[in-house]
Amino acid sequence: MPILDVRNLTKRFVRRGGLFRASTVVHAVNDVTFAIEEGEMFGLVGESGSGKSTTGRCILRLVEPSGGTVLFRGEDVVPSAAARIRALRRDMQIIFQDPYSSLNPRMRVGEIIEEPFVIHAVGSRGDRRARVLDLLRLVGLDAAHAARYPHEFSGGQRQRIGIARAIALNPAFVIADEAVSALDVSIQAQVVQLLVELKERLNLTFLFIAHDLRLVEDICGRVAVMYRGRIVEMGATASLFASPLHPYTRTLLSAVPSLDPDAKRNRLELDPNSFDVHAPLREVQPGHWART
Amino acid sequence: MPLLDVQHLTVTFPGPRGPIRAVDDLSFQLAASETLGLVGESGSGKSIAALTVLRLLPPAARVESGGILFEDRDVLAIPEGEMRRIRGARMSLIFQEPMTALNPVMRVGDQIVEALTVHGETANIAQARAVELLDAVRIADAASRMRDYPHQLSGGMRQRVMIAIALACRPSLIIADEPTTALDVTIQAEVLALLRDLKARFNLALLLITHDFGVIAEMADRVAVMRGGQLVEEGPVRQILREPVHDYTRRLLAAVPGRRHSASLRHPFHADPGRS
Repeated sequence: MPILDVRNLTKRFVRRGGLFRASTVVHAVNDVTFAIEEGEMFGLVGESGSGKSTTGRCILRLVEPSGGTVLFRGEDVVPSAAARIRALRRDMQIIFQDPYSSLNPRMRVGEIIEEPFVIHAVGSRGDRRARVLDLLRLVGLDAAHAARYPHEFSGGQRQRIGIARAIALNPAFVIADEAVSALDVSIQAQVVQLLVELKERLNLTFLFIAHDLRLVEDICGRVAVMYRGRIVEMGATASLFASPLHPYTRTLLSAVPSLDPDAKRNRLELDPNSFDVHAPLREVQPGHWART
Repeated sequence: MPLLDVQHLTVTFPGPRGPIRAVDDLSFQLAASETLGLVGESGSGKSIAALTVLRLLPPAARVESGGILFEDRDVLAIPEGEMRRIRGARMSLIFQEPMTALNPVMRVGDQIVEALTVHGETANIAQARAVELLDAVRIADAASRMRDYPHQLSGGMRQRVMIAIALACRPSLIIADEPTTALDVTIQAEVLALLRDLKARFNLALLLITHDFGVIAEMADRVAVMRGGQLVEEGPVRQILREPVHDYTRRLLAAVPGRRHSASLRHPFHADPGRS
């Protein structure tokens, strides 16, 4: 059984009309279906507005889905009551892009990491303090950092603090939503390395949401490509990057800059008439799905 | 004679324990119609160096020493009134976030027209030129787009409008500070292709500031790598990307994600994807 099984997930936003404009319905997430096996690093890529972040938020019920099911270890979280969702959030966590805005500037780092234990009433005060120090070391910071405030840290260190908080309660499943996008490339490589290490050490499963295809290519075993709310292609990263089946995936991959100044630029333009947006996602090759 | 010649430039900011050197003894040259990529991480001083060339440093900053020659003139000695004419007319700036550069309550056409009339063009000619410029940056249906406000345009289109404004007075040098960093990868590809095109068409020199070696590989003739205000390494793009000499350059290149280029690189970043 997959640890996460998302079926026909849909999120509609109603854009309110004005005096001269009718209300319109925007399908931010449209009939999204995928499953993640335990221990996977599953990539979800797309450009801005593709619905990748909304998909992540619907899975954690940070945004209410309009339809579909999200099975976490077989339990549908979509109809679950708020109290059950809170309990489930011990097992399902998220790391956001912007460590600046997701850390309370008035709290010391030790308190920030300890907060999940307090919220979920885990351990005695002494236990919690010890665990905070363990977590700091686990993410490559040191014990002395617990007494400091977020503004005293660099972007990469702040992201490490965010990671420590996300893994504090030993979750099984973590969503990294553009978690390294705002970092300088050398810092980004270090934080990505940390995520890969933590995945192995703590037996985590990741949904890695990113717009940078190069990152996904490096660390994700499987990947799904979203375009305008739909998954247009999904498969093993190696096979999807080597032989993309959907026109949008081909366009996206052709736009990624190469580090070779002599590389032939074979930039493809997307012809929206070259594919049918309503085509079903079907398994074209074993494990490789596309809407064609 | 280079178009732009920066010699031993040092720029400081006041700090709690004495001045901080944001740019430290930096020298580089840029020939006419050449593209120099200035690469570095946040805080490396690459943007401050560019702002110094444009004489747009914040008031707290101080040029301690060094000189800048642009079109054979000593930039640091030009009176402010004349510098205003040079900016826009001879050298102009494109930066990351077009929304902060464009006036939100002014039609984009009027903003281009303004750039032209400020530099002495008559209103009628400016109007016609503005349409040409929007057309040159490949905005479809340019004449009717003139009447749009910035918020009615997509991010990529706003970036094109900013490029049109930068081009308006036919400068010889464009300084582009992370021009595509905020854009989606397909839009980035379009904007880079456009910049390459315009560069050839208008004979522009481009000082391209970026942290992305992918953008460098696509655009630059030469590359200068900065760290902590200093120039670490400089050379032709192929040499820097394939045989970097300095350890810092190697580490920066190794940190660039993506596997398809690892064949051409000696130090690819190794995360172990095998079991994921």
